[in-house]
Amino acid sequence: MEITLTVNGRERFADVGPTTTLVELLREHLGLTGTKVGCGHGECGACTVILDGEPVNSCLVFAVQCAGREVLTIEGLADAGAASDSDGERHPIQRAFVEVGAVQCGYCTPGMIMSAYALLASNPAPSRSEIERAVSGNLCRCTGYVKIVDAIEKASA
Amino acid sequence: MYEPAWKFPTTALEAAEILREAAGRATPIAGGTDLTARLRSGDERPEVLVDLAGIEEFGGVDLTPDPDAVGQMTMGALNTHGALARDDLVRQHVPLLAEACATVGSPQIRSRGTVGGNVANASPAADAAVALLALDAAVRVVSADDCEGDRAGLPLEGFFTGPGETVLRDDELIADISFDCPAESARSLYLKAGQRKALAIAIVSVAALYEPEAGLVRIALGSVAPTAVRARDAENLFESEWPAGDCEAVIDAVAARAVGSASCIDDVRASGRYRRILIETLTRSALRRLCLDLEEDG
Amino acid sequence: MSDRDDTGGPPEISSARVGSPAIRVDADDKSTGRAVYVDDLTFPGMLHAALVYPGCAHARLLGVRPDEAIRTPGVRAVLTAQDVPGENQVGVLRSYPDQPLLPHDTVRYSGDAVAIVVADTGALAREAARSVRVDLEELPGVFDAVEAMEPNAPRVHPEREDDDDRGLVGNVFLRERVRKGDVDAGFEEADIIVERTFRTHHQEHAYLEPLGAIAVPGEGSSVTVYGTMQCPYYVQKAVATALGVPLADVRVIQTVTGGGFGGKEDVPSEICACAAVAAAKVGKPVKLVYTREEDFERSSKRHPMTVTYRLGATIDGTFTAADIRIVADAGAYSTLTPIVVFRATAHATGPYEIPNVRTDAYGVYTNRQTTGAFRGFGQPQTIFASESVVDEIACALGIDPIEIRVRNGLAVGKRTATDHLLDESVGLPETLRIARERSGWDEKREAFAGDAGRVRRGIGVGAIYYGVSLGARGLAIDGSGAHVEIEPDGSVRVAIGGTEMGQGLHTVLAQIVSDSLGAPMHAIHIGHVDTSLVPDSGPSVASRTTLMSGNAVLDAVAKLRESMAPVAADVLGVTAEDVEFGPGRVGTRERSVTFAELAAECHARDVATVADGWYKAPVTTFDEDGQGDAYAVYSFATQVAEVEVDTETGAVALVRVTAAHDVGKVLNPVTLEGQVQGGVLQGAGMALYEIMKTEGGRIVTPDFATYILPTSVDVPEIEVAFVEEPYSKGPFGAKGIGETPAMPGAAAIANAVSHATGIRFRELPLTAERVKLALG
Repeated sequence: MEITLTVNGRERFADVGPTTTLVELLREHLGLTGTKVGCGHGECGACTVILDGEPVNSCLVFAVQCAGREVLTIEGLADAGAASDSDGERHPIQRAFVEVGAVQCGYCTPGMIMSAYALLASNPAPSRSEIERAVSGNLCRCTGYVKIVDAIEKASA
Repeated sequence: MYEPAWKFPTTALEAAEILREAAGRATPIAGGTDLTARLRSGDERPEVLVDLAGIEEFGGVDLTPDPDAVGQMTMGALNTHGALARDDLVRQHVPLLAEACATVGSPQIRSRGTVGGNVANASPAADAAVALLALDAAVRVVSADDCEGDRAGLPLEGFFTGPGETVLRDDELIADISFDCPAESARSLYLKAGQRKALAIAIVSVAALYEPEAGLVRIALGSVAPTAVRARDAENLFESEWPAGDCEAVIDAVAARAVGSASCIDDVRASGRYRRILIETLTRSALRRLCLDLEEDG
Repeated sequence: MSDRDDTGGPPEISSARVGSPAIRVDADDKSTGRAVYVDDLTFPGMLHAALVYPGCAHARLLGVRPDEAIRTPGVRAVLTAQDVPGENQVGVLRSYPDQPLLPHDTVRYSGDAVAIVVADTGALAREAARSVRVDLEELPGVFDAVEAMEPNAPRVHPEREDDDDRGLVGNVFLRERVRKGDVDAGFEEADIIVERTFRTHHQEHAYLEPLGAIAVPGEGSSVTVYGTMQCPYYVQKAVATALGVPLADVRVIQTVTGGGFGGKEDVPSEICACAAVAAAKVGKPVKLVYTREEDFERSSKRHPMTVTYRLGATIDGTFTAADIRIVADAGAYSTLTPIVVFRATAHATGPYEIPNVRTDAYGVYTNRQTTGAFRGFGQPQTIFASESVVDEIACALGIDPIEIRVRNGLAVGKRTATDHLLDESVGLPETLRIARERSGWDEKREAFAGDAGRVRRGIGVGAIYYGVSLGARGLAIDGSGAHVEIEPDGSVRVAIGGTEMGQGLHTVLAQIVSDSLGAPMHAIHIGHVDTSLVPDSGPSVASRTTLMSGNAVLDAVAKLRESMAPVAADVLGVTAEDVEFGPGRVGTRERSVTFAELAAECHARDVATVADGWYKAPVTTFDEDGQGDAYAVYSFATQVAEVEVDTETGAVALVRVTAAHDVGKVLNPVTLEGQVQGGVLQGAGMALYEIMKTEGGRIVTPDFATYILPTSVDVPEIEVAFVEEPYSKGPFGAKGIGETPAMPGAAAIANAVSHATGIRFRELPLTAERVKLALG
C-alpha cells in the first residue's frame, strides 16, 4: 500500500504492508533507527514518537493509519526546537539529558525525550510531578528516573 | 502472511455498509491500542480492518441544555482518553470520568485509545467504562440498516455480556455515548488500586457519585466480575439509610454490601480474596470523601 | 529553555580529571538516536531467524517436522540439533556440560527452543516458526527447588549420575559450604538464637534492549558476530564451540548495549551461537532479535532462593554463631549457578564478623527458566534473610538496628566468614554512620513507632559487602587487556576488553586516560569490544570492569609515558624525570607542550606511540571448607529506606532511600550517582513489585503489562552519599560499584515495612496484597 506522510518536516512516500507498524515504517523503510523497540505492545514507551502533535507508541499504530499525517522522531527533534537549522544542532531537551547525566544505556532515551517534548510543547513550565506523570509511560531500567526528571526540569527552566 | 484489507470510510453510513458487506469478516479499528497487539500476535485475524479515524461525526463532546437539569452530555466514540481527561465540560460536570480517563495506561496510550474502543472492548478493567456505568450512560449504536441509530439509548448496564463480549452485532458501530449530567451539587470520583502508581491495570476500581439533594449514590466496580458492574444493593442500602445519625456506620455497611455485587476471581494481578477486601476499602474511602469530606488518613 | 545563548551544538565534553563530573562520552549519540544498537544494523543480503518453542516445560522430544515451514515462500532453512556443526553445547562453564544449544532428545523448560527458522524477513521467520510441528511426549515437571530435592521428584537431568560422596543426588548438582570455628559451641555461648526461613522469587533483568545478534560469514570458516552483550569472550568461545572452528576464526564485536545487569553475561552466547550456526548453514548474514516475550523466556533470572538463617548473639548483641542453609533454583541448566552459589555462600553471613559459621548451599535443577547473573549475583536473596534476622535480634535485645550492625560489622583487622583478614579499604562503619546521619534515623525510628492511623510509617536498614571481581571460584580469566594507540594529531584510540553496557565505563576510562596521559577528553576515542583487538579479558561482571580495564589502561599508559617522556624532555630542555603528563599538557610547570604537539613530535622521531596493557587480579583462595581470601577486596554499602504502609489496602509507598556506598574512589560523581539511583530502584522493584509468575513452568507474566517494573512515579526521594576508603590496587584507589546499589534495598525496605507494621515478612515481593493479607 502506498502512503504519503510528513516525517520530520519532509514529505515521505512509502510502500508498506497492511500490518506494517509506524515503527517498522520509520526504522525499516525510512532508515530512522533512532526510534527503538523495547516491547512491541505499547508497554515500555521506547518507540514513542509525536503523531500530529501527540505522543504515541509507534509500535501500536499501523503505518497506513498515518497517511497524510505528521510524524516527529528523535532525528527531527533538533530542527523542531533549535534556533537555527544547521546540522549538528541539539534540542534543549537533548542538551539537558547530556549535561545532567540522564543517559545511561540510552535505549529508552529517544522515547523518553519525545515524551518530554510532548509535555513541554503543551506545558512549558511543568511541576516535577507533572514531569513524572508525563514520562510514566516510558520505562527505564538504568537510571531510577531521577536524572531524567532533572533533565526535563532543566530544559523547561 | 496475514494481509488484511484496509478501509477508510469518512461517514458512519459508509463504515456501517462496509461492516454489513463483510458479514463478520471485518473489524473496526479506532486507536488500536488493544487491537494492534491482538492482530500481531495472531489472536485475531479479520479479513478487513475498518479505520474509523476519518469519521468526523464520531467526534466531539456536547452538552445539550435542559431547563430542569444540567443537561445531557454526549461524547463521540472517537474521543481519546487524553482528550476527555483534559476536556473542560467533562472535568466540570463528571470529574469521575476525567479521573478515570486520566488513569488509562500511559500518556501515549491515552493519545490513541478512544472511549468507544474502551466500551467496545468490554474489558472488566476498562477505566472509562466503569465511570460511564456509574453515570447510567447509554450507547448509541449505528448499522447500515439503522444509520440514524435507533438502537440509541442502549444502556451501558447490560451492554457488556462477558470479558470482551458485548451485545454489539458484527455490523454495528458505537457512534457515541451519552448520559444525563449529575446535578450541580453532585460529587464524584474514581479510585483505582493497581500494582503500581502509573501504567497500571486495575486490580479493583470504584467509580462513585453522590447526589446530596436526592440522597443517593451510584457505585460501579471494575475488575471484580466478568464485566464492569453496578453495586445496586449497596446503592439501595445507601438510599434507604441516608441521611443517618451515624453516617460513618452507614458508609461502612454500604461498602460491605458492595462486595456482594462482585464475583471476583484470582488472576495474575491479584487474588479474589484481596479484591473483595479492596472493594470494601475503596468504596468506603470513596464514600467518606464524597459524603463526609473525609480524607484518607482516617 | 536553558542555555539559549549556546550555539545549540552538542555539549562540549570537557577535559576532566578523575573525580570530576565529566559528561558521558556516549550521551550525545544516545540522545540523538545515532547510537547503533544491534537491531539498528543491517548487512547486504541479510536474512532473519526465529526460534521454535516446545510449548511445554518438560518433554521427550520425538521429532521436529518443518515441512510446512520449509514450503513457505521466503523461508530459507530450518535447523535442528543435528545441524549444529560443532559441539552442541552452549553452557558457559565447561565443567557443567548440561546445556545443548538446540535440545535433541529432551526439552527441559518452556524456553528450550528446538529449531531455528531462517527467512527473508523477521515477520516471515516468526510466522514460519509457529508452523513447525514439534512432536513431544510430555513428562511431569518440577517447578520448585525445595520440591525438586525430594527423592521422588521428577529428574530434570536423568542422564546425570548421582555422586553420593559429594551429596550430589537427583536434581542437586552443586554444593558449596563454609565451615569456620565451632558452630555448636558458638550457639552455646548465645543468649538469644533466632532461626527463620525466607523465600525470594525470580526477578527479570528487564534491560530495555532485548537480546539480539547478527552473524556475518567471512572467508573460509570465519565468522563475525555482532550483538548486545556483556561478555564478548564468552560469545567467542560459544560460537567457536558450536561451529567447531578455532577461536581465531571467530570475531565478536559488541554493539552499543542497552542495559545488562547480568542478564547479558552468559545468555548472549545462546542467541549469538544460534545466529552463527544459521549463518554458516545459509552462507549469508543472519539476524536474530528476541521479542520481549522471548527475552523473558530465554534470558536468565535472579535465582529464587530458600534461605534458612540461624543466628546467635549474646545479651550485648555480639554475634556468636551463624548456621545458614541456601537452596538455589537453577532452572533447567546449570549456566552460572555454580559461581552465583559460591558468591552467595561466601557472603551469606552479611558484612559481620562472626567467629563460628556453618553455611551449606545447594544448586538444584527445576523445569523453570534458567537463573544466573543478576546485579548482586546471589547476594540480595541471602541479604534479605541475614538483614531480617539481624534486625529481629536487635529488636529482641532492645538494641538499635544500626547500632548492632556497627558492633558486629566488618572493619580493618576483622575477619570475614571465609576467615579473610581485612587489611584495607573497609568502608562499612563509615557507610553505617553516614546513612544513619543523613536519613535522620534516630528521630524517625522513634517518631514512626508511634503511628497508629491508617497510614503507618517505618524506617529500616540494610548493610552489605560485596567481593569485587571473580574471586576464588571464578572460572573465567581474571586478567584484562587494553590497547592504546596515539595518532600523529594527538587523538588517542583505546581498545579494551571490558564492555560499556550503560554503566559509564567508557567515560571513566576516558577520564583515566586523560588524567594519566595528558590528552584532552575529546581526543580520546574508546571503542566497544572487538575480540580481534584485545585478548580475552574475562567478563564484564562482578563490579570488576573499571578496576580491571582501568588498571590495564593504566599499564599501557605507563609504557607510553616511558617512551614519550624523553621526547618531551628533549623538546622542552628538561630532564625526563621531571616531565608530568596532563591534563591537556605535558611538561613541567614552567615549560610544557600540548599533548597533540608531543604526539606529532614522537611520530616525527619514529618513537613508538602504541602500547598494550594487562592487569591480572590478585590470587584468591577458597578451600573445601570455604576458608580463604575469597576475593581481593570488598565494596560496602548501607541503605536506609523509609516507607508508608496503607493499612487498609496494604500498599507500601517507598518514600525515601539514603544510600551510602564505599567505592574506594569516586571517578565520576555524576555517573556514579546515576548508577546508584538506578540500583536503588531495582532493589525497590525486587522488594515491592517484581515477580515472574509461571504456571506449569510457562511464564504468565511475559510482558511489561504483567511483570511490574517501577515507573517514574514510583520513585522515592533518593539521597546518595559516597565513602572513599581507597583500595591500594585499584585505579586511583577505586573498587567496584556495579552491583552494590541493587543489593541492600530489598532488605532495608522489608525491615522498614516491619518497623511500620510490626509484622515480619519473609517472602518477597511485598505486594499490597501480601501486606494486606498479613495485616488482616
